[in-house]
Amino acid sequence: MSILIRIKKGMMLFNKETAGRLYFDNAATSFPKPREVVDAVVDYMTVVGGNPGRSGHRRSIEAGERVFLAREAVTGLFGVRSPMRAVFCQNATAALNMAIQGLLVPGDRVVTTAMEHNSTIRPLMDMKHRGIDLTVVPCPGGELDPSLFGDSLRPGTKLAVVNHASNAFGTLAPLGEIGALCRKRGVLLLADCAQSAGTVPIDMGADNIDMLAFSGHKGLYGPTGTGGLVFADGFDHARVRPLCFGGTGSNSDSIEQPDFLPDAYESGTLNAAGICGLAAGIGFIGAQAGGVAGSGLHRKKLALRFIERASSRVPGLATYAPAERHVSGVVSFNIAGMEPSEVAWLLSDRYGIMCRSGLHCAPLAHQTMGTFPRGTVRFSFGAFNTPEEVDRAVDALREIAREGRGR
Amino acid sequence: MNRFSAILFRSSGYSLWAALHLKTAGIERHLIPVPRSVSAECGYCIRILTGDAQRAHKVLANAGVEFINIVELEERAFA
Repeated sequence: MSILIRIKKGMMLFNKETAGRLYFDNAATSFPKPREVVDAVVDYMTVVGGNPGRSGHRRSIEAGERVFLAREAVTGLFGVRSPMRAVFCQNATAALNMAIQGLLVPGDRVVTTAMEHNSTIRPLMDMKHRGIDLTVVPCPGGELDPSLFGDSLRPGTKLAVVNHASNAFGTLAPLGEIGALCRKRGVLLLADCAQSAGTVPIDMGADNIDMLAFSGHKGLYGPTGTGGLVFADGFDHARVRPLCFGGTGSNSDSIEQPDFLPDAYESGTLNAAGICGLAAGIGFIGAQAGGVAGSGLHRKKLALRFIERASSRVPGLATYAPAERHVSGVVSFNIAGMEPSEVAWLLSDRYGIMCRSGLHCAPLAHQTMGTFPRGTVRFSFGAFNTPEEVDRAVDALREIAREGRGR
Repeated sequence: MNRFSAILFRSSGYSLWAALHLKTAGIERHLIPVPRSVSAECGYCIRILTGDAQRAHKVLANAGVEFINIVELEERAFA
């Protein structure tokens, strides 16, 4: 039996098994991946082959071309002119670590927000233990107030690290205003766009973002294991020391790490298959009606529909952020008298509705919103979700809530 | 002895970037392994006709694609 036939049979089985299930966990990773993403990965693995940038033969060159086109897609997405300013790595966490640990030294002053994910706050806390001065700006109600943020940018501040869209509550930071403040005060801005990339239009130049960390497998619909750090045009990347050193396929006669982009930060063989899929994912988002903005609007509509219907029909259900702020399609909620984990388990076990409960690796954000340590149930909608699915989930929650109240 | 020109880059990524711009400009080009006689790189460079060297230089400069140099070589450079 050929590999292709086995793959096709596997997919048929897979589709039969998952029919009727609802996936509302797109903030963890988007699912399903578009057909063109799967095709791009398979095409690399079965047709292209080769290690990008390592050899002079046809397969290596074609692999290099695919990776280069992915760089163009990424930098184009974020309004950056030079494709060489996109550095690929395994996820947004690795990108944030690359920027934070690569840039900061003991004695540096850093500002961040009370809505950060652990991918930002943990490396910052580690750096704090090593001697940086860290200020966490409060975000009452999950909102980052630019004036409060501006007050924290005291003279000598080197870096601001700001979460764009909260993975836990869906709120959006006013990145443009924050960027303008940072630029005015001479502070570098690192934006965590793990959740917003592919959902909210971002222009690094217009928003004065110096470094941007993105995830490839969430709103951009690429495979897991993809993400990256993008340096703005004109930003002196030499300020960021690489964390990983090794073979790059360049300067091979030297035992010193190259100092140019992107090679300085891309030691070892890239996830070429994943990067091909990522490029296809970006193409998929771009082909949606309205592009990135349209993709975000679709999710926002689903979030608003859920909030409106669930708030009126599900007894004891409470959401946490103002409805109009759920720009990225993420909604956190609780049902009075029930643990989030119990609600999520019942949704999965009885109704085939998959979501995430708990603290979502964002304890700081949950402390800010008053949901720590209990956590919340999180629905995160994606490109393939429909209003009918939202209604089905509301019906399920109504039954769960009624049962919970009857105990 | 036949001669050609090779555009050398810091890494293969730049050569791919350049190749796209040269293609758009209608310049005949081929990605080839970097000749051992000019560099110890393990990636590739771009081979063009020597008569196109000046035009290629201009195209890449206008596009902002950095390159190390354009060198003229004999076919036996691969020997």
